Amino acid sequence: MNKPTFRIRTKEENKLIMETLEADFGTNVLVVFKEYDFWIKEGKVKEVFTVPKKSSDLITKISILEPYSAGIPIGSISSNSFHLEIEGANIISNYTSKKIIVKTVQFLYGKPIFKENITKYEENFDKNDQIIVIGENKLLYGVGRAEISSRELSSLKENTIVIKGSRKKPLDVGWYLRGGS
Amino acid sequence: MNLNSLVILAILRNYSNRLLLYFDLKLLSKIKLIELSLQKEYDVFELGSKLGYLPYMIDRFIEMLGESETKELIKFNETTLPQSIRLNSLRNSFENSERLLKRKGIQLEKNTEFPESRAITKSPHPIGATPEYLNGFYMLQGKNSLYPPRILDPQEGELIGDFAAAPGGKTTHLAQLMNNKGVIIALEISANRCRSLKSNLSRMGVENTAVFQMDARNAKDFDLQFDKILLDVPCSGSGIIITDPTRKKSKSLKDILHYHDYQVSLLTTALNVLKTNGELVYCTCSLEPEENELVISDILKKADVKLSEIGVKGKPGITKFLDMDLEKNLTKTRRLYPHETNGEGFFIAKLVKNDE
Repeated sequence: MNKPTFRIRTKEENKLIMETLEADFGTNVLVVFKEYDFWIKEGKVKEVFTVPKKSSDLITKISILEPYSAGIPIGSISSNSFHLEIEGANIISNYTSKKIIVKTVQFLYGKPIFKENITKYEENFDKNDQIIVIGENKLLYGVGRAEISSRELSSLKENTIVIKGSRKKPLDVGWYLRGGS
Repeated sequence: MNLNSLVILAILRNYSNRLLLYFDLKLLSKIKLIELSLQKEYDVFELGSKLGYLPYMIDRFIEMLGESETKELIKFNETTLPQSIRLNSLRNSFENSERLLKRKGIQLEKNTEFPESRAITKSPHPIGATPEYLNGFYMLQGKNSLYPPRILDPQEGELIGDFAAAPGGKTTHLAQLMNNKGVIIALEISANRCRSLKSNLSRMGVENTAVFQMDARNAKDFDLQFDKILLDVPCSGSGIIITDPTRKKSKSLKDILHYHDYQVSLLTTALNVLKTNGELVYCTCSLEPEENELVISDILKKADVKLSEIGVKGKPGITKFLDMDLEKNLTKTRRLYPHETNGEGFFIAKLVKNDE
């Protein structure tokens, strides 16, 4: 029998996702996923979906057919790390202060955020931390990893990259226009 | 469009017909219509021919609508529909979304029938590329396509089937009406269209939907009984010539008959997996009776179902076509013609499965 490509998470995957979310965004975000199960779509990377319990129970029951997708994709697992993506950021953004506010839309085009683009950040961050990116209009722009820590910011030039963009990954909402799926 | 633009486009038409894109074809049709309106009053066949319709289509429109209204229809098809959006309460309140769009200079007009629908009367920005769109605050959606989900009236907690779901305008609308509760099983046969469906579901914040890439004719494999099913079947698209002028020439009568067989097959399967007393909304964006009333007529003869009133404006379904007399209760179905509704053409029927 072939291994399913859309399956419920293993215990280890569940632990990795929850521990990463807690470490990067705080304990408050965990409550958001209380009534949901994580499902995994195998592929080049493992896509992680959050699926309401009712849907999860139903698709478990339909064992003969395998979903293409279910619920909302929130991130991916690669190299034994969990990486938050656009919709994961959207779901948790009201439950965390790990956010920076930016005055440019260039992140929506897969471009980086420079020091000069940052209006403010709500919480200090370290290099490699995942941070949610919000526009001055309070709209979600996406999520990315810090290239530097917030403590270094004051001593750096205005054109220093703080968060890298990516045209190839679903890290900013412009992904939807780039035909991403 | 000013006269200079018309002249430039007319020159382009003469020199680069083969290079014209869809958009240019639409503009050229308008030029033709303007040219024609300056000349004598053509009869409907001449007008149809000048506007690029295959002759059989004009014959059939006349059979359904008469000559005068056929002229109205084909002239209307040369115009542009007002852009409209559906505000998404799964992402933001209607009031907040409206406020954000108005702040950008986008002018909206309420639709008296549906609180979630707005016509765009003015927009300085491409409406499909704003950060608000990317955040799923709204879906670009023709106003008439809001009818099928509204008529199905899904409730929180129900199990809903959406059996030809991509690109997801109606699926995301169903989820909105259900407040993301219950479960939607969305079927789509094409892998590419599954990708766009998944993308729209994510953008619009739809949680309660599982997508399966499969032929809906195999829906019995689920071993489920659905409370309600939306069947927006693949069709020949003669109701949306206003947005796709290539349809004037792209489909033959044989194609329409092929669609008919496929649609009957899909509807038969869908009714088999519908609960007793469950409801099914069948719709097409075609005006062809073979894809509409004749599909329902076939089903009424072989399945234990009844047609239900749907209380929508528009013309009742037709009961006479060519030499055929159809069931009288087909008048419970509705035909939304573009020229009458200022929207896309639709056919909608609601079926209820009887007690066995």
